[in-house]
Amino acid sequence: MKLFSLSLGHVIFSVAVILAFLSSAQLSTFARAPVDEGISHVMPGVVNVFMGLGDRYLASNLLVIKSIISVGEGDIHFKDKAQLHKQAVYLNGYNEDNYYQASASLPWNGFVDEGQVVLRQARKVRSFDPWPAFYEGFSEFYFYKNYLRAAELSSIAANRSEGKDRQLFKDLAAKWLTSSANYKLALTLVTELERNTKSMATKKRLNYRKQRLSNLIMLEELVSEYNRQFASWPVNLSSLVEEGLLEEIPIDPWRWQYGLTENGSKVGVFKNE
Amino acid sequence: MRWLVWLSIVSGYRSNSFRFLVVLAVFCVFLAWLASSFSARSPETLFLDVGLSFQRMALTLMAVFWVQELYYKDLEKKTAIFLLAYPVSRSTYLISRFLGVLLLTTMALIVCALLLFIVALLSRTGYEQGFPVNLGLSYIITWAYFWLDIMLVVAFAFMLCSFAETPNLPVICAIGFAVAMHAMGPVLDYLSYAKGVEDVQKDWILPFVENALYILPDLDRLDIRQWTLYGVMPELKLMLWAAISALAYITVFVAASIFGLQRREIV
Repeated sequence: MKLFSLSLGHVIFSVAVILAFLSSAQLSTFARAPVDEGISHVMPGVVNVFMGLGDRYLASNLLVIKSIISVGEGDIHFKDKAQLHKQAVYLNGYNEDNYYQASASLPWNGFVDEGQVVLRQARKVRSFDPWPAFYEGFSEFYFYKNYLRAAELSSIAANRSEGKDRQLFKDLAAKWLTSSANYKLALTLVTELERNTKSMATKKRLNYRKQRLSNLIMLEELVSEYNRQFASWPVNLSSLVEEGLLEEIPIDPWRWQYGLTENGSKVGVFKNE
Repeated sequence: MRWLVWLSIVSGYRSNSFRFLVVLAVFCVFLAWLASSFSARSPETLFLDVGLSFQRMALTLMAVFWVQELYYKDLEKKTAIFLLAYPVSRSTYLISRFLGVLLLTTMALIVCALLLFIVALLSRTGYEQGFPVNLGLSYIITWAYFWLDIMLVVAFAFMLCSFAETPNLPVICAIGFAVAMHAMGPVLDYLSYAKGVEDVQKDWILPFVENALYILPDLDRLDIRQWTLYGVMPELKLMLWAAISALAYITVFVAASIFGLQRREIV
């Protein structure tokens, strides 16, 4: 009986081992679901407080560092990034790097609302700092085309600064009240962002953005020139090359494609499918 | 009593803890320095911010280990009997041990604060921050409040040791207590003000934290580093009440420790 049960045990064990190997081999032939780039998940804010061992300042710093070191593209990546910056600003609204990084990345990648939440909170808490109000105002101006609110926010920034900066913010408030969105103003802001950072990685990213904006400004000028010469808008950007106005269409730093919008009168940038 | 306090300090010093503390403090400063390289605009602020967080945690850990070494092990190994035989009352013995840990912690805190201060000054590079940190009076007061914070955790650890029968339980519970009491304030703020938080979290956690803070110490209020980091001085009244609250809880915990020790079977 003992021998029988032992041999049955051996048989079961051997079959199980063979099955385990066989099933593993079979499973490896099935394709895996594609994984999104970037951070796959952001913990709830309460959990992140405990990840910082209850220290709100450390938790906020860890969230910002996580956002800085995360690399990737696409909506999921920036949605998570936005979540990290939002949590960080509610844990420590004073955190300067948080609002700065949020304003340098979120609105430019389609997360304007989230960027504004971060900037608004930072503006309320950092009552001594003109920059959150200025960046928030810029987004109102450039992304929302809400010129009145943009001018109000630039005035708040002016009231919080002195000397040259105060004059700059006042001038911008006046300008924003009377102008429409354009790439040249965006270039001014990005140049300012780049000037205010010591991080080489951020500088590089902002430099790419400057290149993109410079290309857009140059292309819009050529489109206007085309319109002056031929009394119509170009069909596509290749028309500029065909008519000798442009040697070749510039390459976007992120390898997106430049194209025409609004019946060919404006130039935009589009992600490759 | 004075000799008992002195004995506690010497025992704490002899346990090689100071050497360990210096290594830990240097490591914390190194981590803070690494973290500061992530800052795009305010590396000095980030260095000091992370440095303060790590140093406070390291000091809390050290202080709780001292409680374990100087008090719990005395009870566990029955060596407390020899000290009580001098004779000294149990309350004098406990207060002496508490004062010993208090002085050791104060010395350790001064070492950590000075180290962070010196490295913060030395690591100033050519880059001029828009909003520099303040390393004057605000820095000293920030550390003074950290001291209150750590002493409150120490008093709690003493209370646990007086009642506990399981080795290491006081250390684990005291560290858990420190984390939880620090987290209450940020959790309350986050759930009250943050937009887009799930209702489930607000419905379950918020009322619990709100009510708990009426009876438990709010260690987050003792963290006033925004003064030294951003030049924003907290309300004077708030600072005063935070200090009074901490001192009151320390007294309550030490009194409870004495109560526990007097009823404890040592022999």
